[in-house]
Amino acid sequence: MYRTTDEQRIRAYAELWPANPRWGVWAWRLQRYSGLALIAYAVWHIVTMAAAARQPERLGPLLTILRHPAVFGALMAGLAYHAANGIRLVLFDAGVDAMRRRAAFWGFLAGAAVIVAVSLGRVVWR
Amino acid sequence: MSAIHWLLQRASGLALVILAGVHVIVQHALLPVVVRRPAQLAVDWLLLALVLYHGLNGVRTVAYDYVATPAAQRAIAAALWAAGLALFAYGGWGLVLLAR
Amino acid sequence: MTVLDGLLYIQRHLDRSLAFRYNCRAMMCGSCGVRVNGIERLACSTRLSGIPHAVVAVEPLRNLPVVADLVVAFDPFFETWRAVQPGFVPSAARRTAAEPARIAPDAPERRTIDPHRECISCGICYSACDVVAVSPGFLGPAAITRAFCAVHDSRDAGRKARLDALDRERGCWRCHTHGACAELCPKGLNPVEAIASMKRMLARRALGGVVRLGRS
Repeated sequence: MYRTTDEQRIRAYAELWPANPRWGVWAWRLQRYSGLALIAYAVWHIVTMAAAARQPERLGPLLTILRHPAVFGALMAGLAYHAANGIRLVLFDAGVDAMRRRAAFWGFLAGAAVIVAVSLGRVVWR
Repeated sequence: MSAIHWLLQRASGLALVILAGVHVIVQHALLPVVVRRPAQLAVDWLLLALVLYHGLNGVRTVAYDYVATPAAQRAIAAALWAAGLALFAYGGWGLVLLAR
Repeated sequence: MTVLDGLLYIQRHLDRSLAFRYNCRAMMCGSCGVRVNGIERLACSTRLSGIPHAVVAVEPLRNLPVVADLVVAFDPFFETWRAVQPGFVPSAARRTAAEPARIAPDAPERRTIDPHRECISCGICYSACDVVAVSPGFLGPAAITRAFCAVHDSRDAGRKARLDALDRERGCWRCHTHGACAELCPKGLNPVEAIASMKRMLARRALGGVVRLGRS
């Protein structure tokens, strides 16, 4: 049977205190904050690059800002989290239900985020 | 229409995971000289369109969480479309200039 | 000793005016939904010994107007149910059939519906949902799960009306997959997954019903 009896369920429910019943909300909040930060950055990037296309001497200082460790690091962290959590959400929306097996999923996504962030960081600083 | 936006947000998100990653890697591998081959132009235009769609659609979602009246929602959507098209035109033209 | 036992003790010995709901004491009726230390639970089946805090604070459910103490009015909750036409709508074939419908226990539709079927309308998912709090008018996990069950029922003919009710901006599209509903449902249901399934169904419908999107 794929369902427990009512008595088993009552016993399990009475014993189990949710460890962190709002983890999904935090994941979503970070997704939203990183997303808003990324679109703000993207708009700035588009506008300044397009302006620099008309005045090439502006290009150098812009690229220096982008290569600054703090800026690039924050960018990569935000991008890596947003992408990894986004992949988790796309999989869930497609029918891979892992909301309850979240440990495995977060592990996988954390690993993906670390790989993305580290490899991109290495590209910049070799 | 909401269903289409929901679907496209996910599709553009997946495409961006790859395209944005490639963009960062390629841009940094080619520094300090910013070389722009015409072949890159098409990919960069695609990246620009996808980033603007995905990002501004996200802003629309946030706004719709707080704004309930259909008239206000339509106004916000129209403003975001206008901003997106303007940014695509400005950015796209900048890309053309950089490719020369 | 459960939270409900504690409330009854308070009512009998300390404060006779304390107002709260309970009935079956066995997780079947859905009357005793409360927040225990900020987390939505059924009072009848939350053991005090299982709570890891020294002080136990019991509050009424969120997102619903408080009538008195721990009693909340469920009208907004059942309004969302009304919006998805929760009652069975027999198809023309059913109305004229001579015999009852026969649906085997291992039929595909049973396997789809059964994990979401045992809702006791306790309101815990509705209380736990942050989207309900932020976006008034959102249908909420319970109503959309009910729509899910009805839509997959082969005997039912109300599919279009329910899908239209869900396809509005504050229908199912405000769900952001927080998952608090699935985490806290006392019957072990998975509303967030049912909502995702409805989004897929609406996307398929928007594309002309041709494209398959993951599992249905």
